[in-house]
Order: sequence, then structure tokens, then C-alpha cells
Amino acid sequence: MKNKKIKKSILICLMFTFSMFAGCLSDGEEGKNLNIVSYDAFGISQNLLEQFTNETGINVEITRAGDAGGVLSTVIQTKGTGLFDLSLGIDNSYLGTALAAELFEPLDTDRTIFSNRALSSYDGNLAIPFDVGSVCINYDSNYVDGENISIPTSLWNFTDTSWDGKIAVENPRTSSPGRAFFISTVDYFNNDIDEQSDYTNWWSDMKDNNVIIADSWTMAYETHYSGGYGQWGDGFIGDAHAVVSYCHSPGVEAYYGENWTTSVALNIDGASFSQIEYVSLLKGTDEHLSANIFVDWLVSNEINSQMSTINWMYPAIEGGGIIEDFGYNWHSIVPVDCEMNISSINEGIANWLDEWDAAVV
Amino acid sequence: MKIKILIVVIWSMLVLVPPLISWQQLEIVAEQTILETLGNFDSRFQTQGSISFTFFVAISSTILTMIIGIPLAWNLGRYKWRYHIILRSIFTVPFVMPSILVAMGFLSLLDWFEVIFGDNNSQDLRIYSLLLAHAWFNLALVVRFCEPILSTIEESYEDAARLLPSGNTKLKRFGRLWGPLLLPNIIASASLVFVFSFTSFALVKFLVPAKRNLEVVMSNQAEWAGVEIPALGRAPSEIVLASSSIQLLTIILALAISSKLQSRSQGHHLSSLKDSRKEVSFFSIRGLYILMMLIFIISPLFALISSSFLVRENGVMIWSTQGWVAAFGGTHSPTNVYQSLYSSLSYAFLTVLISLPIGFVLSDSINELEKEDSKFSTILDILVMFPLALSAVMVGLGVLVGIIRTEPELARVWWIPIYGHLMLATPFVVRVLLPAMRNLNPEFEQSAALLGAGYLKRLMTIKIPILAPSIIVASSLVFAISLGEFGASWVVLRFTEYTTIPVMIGNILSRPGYDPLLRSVANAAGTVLLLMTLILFIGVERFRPVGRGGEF
Repeated sequence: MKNKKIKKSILICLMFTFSMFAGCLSDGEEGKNLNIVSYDAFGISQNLLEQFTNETGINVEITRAGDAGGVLSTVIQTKGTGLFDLSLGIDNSYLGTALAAELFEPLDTDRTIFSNRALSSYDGNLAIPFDVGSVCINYDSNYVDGENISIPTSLWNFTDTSWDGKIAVENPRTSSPGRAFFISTVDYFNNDIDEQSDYTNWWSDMKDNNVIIADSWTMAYETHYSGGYGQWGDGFIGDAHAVVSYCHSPGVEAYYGENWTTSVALNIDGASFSQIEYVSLLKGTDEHLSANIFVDWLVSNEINSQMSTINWMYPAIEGGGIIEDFGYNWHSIVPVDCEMNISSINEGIANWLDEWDAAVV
Repeated sequence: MKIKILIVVIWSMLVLVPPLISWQQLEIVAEQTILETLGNFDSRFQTQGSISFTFFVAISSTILTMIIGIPLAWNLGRYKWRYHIILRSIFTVPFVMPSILVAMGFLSLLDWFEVIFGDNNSQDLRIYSLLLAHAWFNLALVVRFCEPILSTIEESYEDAARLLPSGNTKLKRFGRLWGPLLLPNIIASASLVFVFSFTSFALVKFLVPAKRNLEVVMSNQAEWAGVEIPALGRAPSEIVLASSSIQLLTIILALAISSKLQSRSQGHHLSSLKDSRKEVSFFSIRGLYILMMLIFIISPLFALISSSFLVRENGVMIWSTQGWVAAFGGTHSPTNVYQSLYSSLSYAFLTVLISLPIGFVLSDSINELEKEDSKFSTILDILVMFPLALSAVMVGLGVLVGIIRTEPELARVWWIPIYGHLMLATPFVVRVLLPAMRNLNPEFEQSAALLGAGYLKRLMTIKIPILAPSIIVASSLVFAISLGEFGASWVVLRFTEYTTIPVMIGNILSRPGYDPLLRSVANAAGTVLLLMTLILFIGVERFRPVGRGGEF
């Protein structure tokens, strides 16, 4: 009797489990599928993707792979397998490496629709820009005004005692914004009037000034930065009054804060990096047509002009900007960014990072 | 017998092949030897201080867990409480909670600490909270390992000890009677606590952001480890290779000690099937103690639940159900709670169906090898526990490279994520079934064999019915572990259609939290997971017989 009961239970469990997976087994047999690898934070909603599917009949499956570096790493490891059709989110700090590794196939996108800023790092058809945004230092005006500190006009100002232990930056080996800002420091100190010192000296002085080096943007901004939304969340420390983030981060703060924020983007010429994010067709794919349709949709005026709320970045198309609501645009700045071409980054980055490692120990 | 050998071989391959592939891939990329890399550990920012911090955290957490856990196990094992089933379930639930949620719970508690004491960000406080979080997480191990012995030792033995000069004080009785009885179980549980504290990831990352243990170091390098592109440098591969070597050696040593001591823990012959627990009321000193422990366990869970109802609005936190609505509506994540729960339940069911027979055969094989006094029993036991010693980074890299080298399309197959669940859950099937098998009277099977019953007949009519309560307990544990599995699913390619609840939470938390609803959505999804796990354990606890439910 007991055995019968056990057998019956096992049978029911088996039937239940396999009925649950019946959906999975039949997946992928209807319509066209487009497989995209993107970074975790890519903010396109499921509703928008469903809208695309309804319009074109193409199903979109997005696989998340960490940050921009994770996307590149996944694309390299799966090169030529046809596992993914498009990569979404490799930025210009990694693009030189991606191009050298010959990962992409040309897309048919019309490039005349893009802004000069979007095409400033690369103007070819192997990588199509879909959004842009500058990475720079943000500071908490409560601290600067409250303590009567001068607004920094040079990166060297952050080595002063007034910023001792009060600035958080991201580890350039583990964070995309951290890497972007790090590259800007290499260029900034190579081109400043002081020929005696370079970026390693600055980073070393910053280490002596107890700079907080966080492993991710979330950790630096949410946990350490006193001027951001992190102050409302769990585990907030708030020991940093300046942080490396985007020059439009204060705008996003204002957008969600009913036009109120104490965060300000610091405008120092050459001390910021214009991050341009690209979509690329991957070698080995059979979905050329579907991929081109998706890219055209992504950079269409209808979708791309919404990038400031879809993905918290500037649109890549000419004339596209940040929306004005709640001071989003008013609190954002477009600074004079550093100029570092993608092949120089590819050639120098491994060595620069090793030197950075030694400078901040 | 052939099937048994086949399953042992398949398990060995499943466990060993991915790390070996990772190892080989990392060796190709790395230029430095492991020793050279280790020599440079403190001169690189990425690894500075990580080895000493890992050992400090693992050892301190183990000691603290024992200090908190042994008295709790004593009070649960020697005394019978009203609502005992619910109590045991609550004390077990932390162990199967996804660590990312535990971290969020403790971070919420730190905020309360700040409200009360005006400080929550000193480095020392963060480290203390990490150690406490590890103790909270691993308490169930101590309770489950020690409680069965404590609850089945008859009172008469202690009465007898009281009459002897060497047992006439509590301290002497502990030193002469309980200490030696419990020691193997204490050390076995301590070994596992050490392993879990050594490999802790989310708790270290979120609670002590200024420090890195080896698991965090490896996770930071995961993106570039094994990738052969000169512009990306070779340091990530070298660091992962060296870190994983230290981790593997340390943990295998700990597991070997654990295995050896566990196999010795059955030799006291003082246990009886009689429930030897004394009735006790909550209105007593012991009751107050149990209440305090309950507050300790429930606080982070309560903080997590309450956070799911808190939403930021115009610079103040307000109570709202918006997070719950968004979690079930899927407006802030690629999947909603219904879809993720569906995936979670499907994977959990399948994990139970596969890991139970594998775990049963592995336990049976170890048990038989032990009876033959074979050294292979320890080797097989370590092989069973081996997945717990592996970094998710090594497993993820090995699986990805292995699949790409053989059949890339496999990466998209729906059953591939089960691999991670199996690796994590099967060791616990063995930990539950093996002690129960050791307690089986061999005469039952011998008599049946004499009467001509074959292996299958004996299995179905004797072993499985007798072991049924332990099988049910193992199933619930596997189900809960699978529901909460995060690390392995996170590092293997994450396809949206198979998103489980922990992965959904990870997806939400990896997005910038500008949107005030995001964190509440994650907490709401976490609360669903927590409640499901709690209900499951309470439902299954009554199948656990006193003292015979296995050591976990």
C-alpha cells in the first residue's frame, strides 16, 4: 500500500515537472529568434521588446553578461559559434580590442542619422552607436558649499586634504565607468602643462589621500556617495562627497527627485571620457536580416530619442537629447572630453592597468 | 552494481571535468606560475590582503557560529518545546536563503543600528556584522549536526554520570560525557561552517565593501579569466588560477577532516529511538534564551520583508505596496514573479528528481565502502562534497568553455542550468541519507537476501520504506537549496526565458537604483522566496523522526 503511494507520488511529480518544461521544449520553433548579448543594466523594457516583436514577427532574447567588459568577454569566448546574433553595449573603451579580435560583421545601418559625438570614436559599419554619455566626477554640493571648499578646477585638487578619504572611484579592472574615467586620467595628465608627472603619480597621490576604490559603480555611487539616491537605501555609508559617475547622473537624480538634487557634475576640460555604446552584428550569425531590422529599430527616431529614460544615456542620433522634465537636462552637462582613439586604448590599456595596480597599492 | 559504478563515474566526471577545463584554459593564458602569482599577491591592488582576510573571516565566523550554535542545539535537542516543528524550521531556513538576500537583510539591520546608535559605517562594525551574518547563515549546520545525538541520549546515562565523582558537576559531565559524544559532530559541522565562510561571496561583497576575500577576488577577475587577448592582460587568469588553488587545497583539507570525523561519529551506541527530550515552557530562562535566538534569526528576514513595503517618494520613505505590484507585474524586470517562480519551481522539481537517485547511490556506495573499511570511502565522500569547494567562477568558465568546444548550441538548452543546481544540492542529499543508512540494521537486508530477494526487491521493500522519512527530508532540503540557488546560475550564460527568482533579484540589483521602486521590487521577490521556503520546511519537518532524520 505504502509502495503504491510512493510510486503514485513519483509519477505525479514526473508528470508535473515535464508538463512544466513542455513550454521550454517547444520554444524557438515558432517565428524568427534574435539572440542578443547585453550588459546587465541595459534598461530596455519587456514591453518595448514585445512591441518590436508585434511589429516585425522577430522574437528577441536578451542574455545578460555583466558589464560592457562582460559582453566583450562573452563575445570573444563564443566567437563564431552562432550562439548570439548581436552584441549590445560594447563601448569605445573596448571597441579597439573587439575590432582587433575580428568579432563583427558589417551592418547596413545608415550612419548619416548619427550625431558627430556618436561617431567621434568610430565611424564604420562594424559597430553602430546607440547611445552616448560622458563619465566624469560628480560632487555633493552640500559638502562643497557647507565646508566652504573651492570647486575643483583640476584633478590635482582632489589630492588636497579637504578631499582626504572623501572621493570614491571605481576599480578600472572591474567597472566600465571606472575604466572610462581611468583612460581619461591617462590622457589628462599626458596633456597637462606639468611634464614631470603622469597619471601614475596622480593615482599614487590619490591613494595617499585615501581615495575609496570600489569594485563597481553601484558600490561607489550607491554605498559611498553622499549626494546620490543611495542615501535612501540599505547599507548606505556616505563617506564620499565626490564620485566617478556620468555627467548626466545629477540629471537622473533630479528627474526622480522632483527637480531636486545636491549632486553636481564637475566640468574640468579633458577630465572626462565620452562613452559611446555600440550594437554589433556577430560573426557566425545566420540572422543578418533580423539583426539589421532590430538595429534600425533601435536607432530609429521613435526609440533612440527615448534613450535618456530607457537607458539613462543620451541618444546617438543627430538632434537627440535628454528630456527636459523635472530638470533632467538642466542638471546634466556635456563637458569637453578627453581625446583618446580606440587603437591607442587597445595598445596601451594592459600596460596602463598594470601600472595603475602598482600605483594604488 | 554496474549502475552504481556508472553513477559514481558520471558524478566524478560532472564534478571534475569543468574545473579541469578551467584549469587548462587558465594555464594557457597565464604567464606566471601559481607560486609566482602568490608571491605577488600583496603587491597587487586586486589581491592585496585577500588571503589573510579570507582565513581571518573563515576562522572567526566558525568560532562565532559554534559559540552561538552549540547552546542552541543543546536547547533544541535536550528540551521539547511547544511548536518545536516551527522552531526547527525557522532555525533551518537561513541556510537555504540566497546569500544576496541575507546581505540585503543585514544591510537593513545596519540602518536600524544607525538610527539607534548613530553610526553604521565603521570598518569594525561592518566586519562584526559580516561574522554575525555568517553565524546566522550557518547556524542550521550546527543545530542539525548536533541535535539528533542530543535528543536521543537517554536521561539515565546522565543520571548515572551524576553518581560518579568524575561526573558530579555540570562541567565534569560536559567534559566526560557530552563533550566526547558531541565532538565529532561539532568538528564535522565546524568544518562545513569553515567551508561556507571561506567561500562566502555576496555577504563579503555587500557588507564589507572595502575588503576582498578570495571568492570576491576571483569574481572580480571572472570576466577576463581564460580569455586569450593580449590587450586584456594576463593578470586575471593568473589571479584566478592562484586563488582557486589555495581555496581548493584548504577546503579539501577541511572536508577530509569532516568526512573522517563523521564516519567515526556513529560509534557511541548510546542513542535510542526513544525521544529523550524534556518538556519545557517558553516562560522560563531557557524560553527567554530561545526567544532571543528567534529574534536574532527573524530580524534580518523581517528587515527584508519590511523593506519590500518601503518606497522612496520625494525624499522620504513611505509605506507602499508598489514594489509588490511591480514585482508581480514585471514592469521593472525582464520577467515577473509568476514567470520566475514557474522557472524556479520547475528547476527545483527536476533537481529533486535527479539529485535524489544520484545522492542515494553515492550514499549507498560510501556506506558499503565504510563497512569494508576501505580508504575509498573518504575519497568518494570528498568527491561528493567537492562542488562546495569550487568557486562559481571556475565552474562557470569550465562549463562555458566545455560547451563551446563540444556543442555551442547546448548553452541554450533549458536543462543546462540544472547542472549548477545538482552540484550544489547533491552533497546535501548524501549528508542526509548517509547517516540514516549507517543506522540501518544490516540484518534486515541479510535476511531478505537469504530468502532470495534480489537487490531491486530489497531496495524497494526494505531500504526505501525504512529510509522514507530521510528521503522526504532530503527532498525538501534539495528543493529549498535549488529554489535559492544563485551563484552557479549567475555565472553560466543567463538566458531570460529560464530566469529563476534569485536570478531575477540579481538582475534587478545589478541595475542603477535611480528608480525608487527597483529595490522594493527585489525585496518583494525575495520575500516570496522566503515564504515559500519557510512553508516548505514547516510542512516537511513532521516527517523527520527524532534522532533519525540524518545529520542535516
